[in-house]
Amino acid sequence: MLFIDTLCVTGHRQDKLWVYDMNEKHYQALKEIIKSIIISYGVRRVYVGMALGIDQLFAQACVEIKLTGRPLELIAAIPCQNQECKWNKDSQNYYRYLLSMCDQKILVTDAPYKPYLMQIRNKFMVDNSDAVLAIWDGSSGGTGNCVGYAEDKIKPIIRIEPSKINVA
Amino acid sequence: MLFIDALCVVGHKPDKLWGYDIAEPHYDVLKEIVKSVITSYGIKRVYVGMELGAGQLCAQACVDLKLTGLQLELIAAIPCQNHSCKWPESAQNYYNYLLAMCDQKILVSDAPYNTYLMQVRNQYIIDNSDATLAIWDGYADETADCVEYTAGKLKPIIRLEPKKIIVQPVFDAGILNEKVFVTED
Repeated sequence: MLFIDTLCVTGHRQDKLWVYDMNEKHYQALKEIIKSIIISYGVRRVYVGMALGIDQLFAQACVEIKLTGRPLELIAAIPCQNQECKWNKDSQNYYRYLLSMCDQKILVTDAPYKPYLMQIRNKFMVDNSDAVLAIWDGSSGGTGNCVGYAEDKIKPIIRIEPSKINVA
Repeated sequence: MLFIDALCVVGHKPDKLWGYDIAEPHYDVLKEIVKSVITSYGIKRVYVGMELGAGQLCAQACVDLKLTGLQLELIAAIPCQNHSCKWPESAQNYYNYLLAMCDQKILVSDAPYNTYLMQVRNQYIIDNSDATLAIWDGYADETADCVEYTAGKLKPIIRLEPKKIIVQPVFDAGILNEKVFVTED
């Protein structure tokens, strides 16, 4: 038996995944896998960074679980002021919808956008979680750094390699 | 809070770690980290493959914990007949000692030694565990195959990277002691 109280997610933006349209079937297949992980490991609290791509897919999976009536505390760890200011209108609207579904919103830093703040946000989430879900192709970058940090903290990592997501 | 019922251990043989002398101080540092993983995650059952290197080190960590009175089921998953027959006598004796300390011994395959049986054994211990502890340098080999197999089963991996295990000599109370350290780079 495995029980994970608090899980956080790290993963790529769309450019390292499939297409930009999150309705694409790989994203939908991955979302179902994420839901099954949350449910089968009894996860009760999740931290998500709310970036485009995996973060928002994960948040959406959590929202769908919450809508079934299952208790799940969804916590947005927002890296900085105006994370969404350069996104297009649709993305901003969707981001605000997801935020409105969160049980808690934490502004990790109060500074304006800077790439290194994403890493501070990642460390914050890892430090506050029991385990990390990494949707990671193995390349170096923000996700790779986050996995390395979790390893240093001796936290369990559930890794999903995007290339192994099959849509039959 | 995290609770892992059954953990399995995979990792390198001594040639990719710090050599065949288990008195080498890095092994002791690693063993203490393994013990802290087992106690802090409330692990109740550990599957080890009993190979030289990481496998036996983790078995020893479990034996140490059992001797403190911790309730811990240590299960040896023996890959094949005569697993130890090519080892030197001292290694065979140590292997037999560790086996004697196991709560259960499972002969995963009844065939004589064959390299691919190690992989069968590894998959067996991963399948029977909730999470995998991987002592892994990151390069492609049997340990990497285990990490990949675990990931494919959507099971958590706790990875310890050998090069991050640091033995730090410190001057303490007038004598030079080895002190336990893990650093982040």
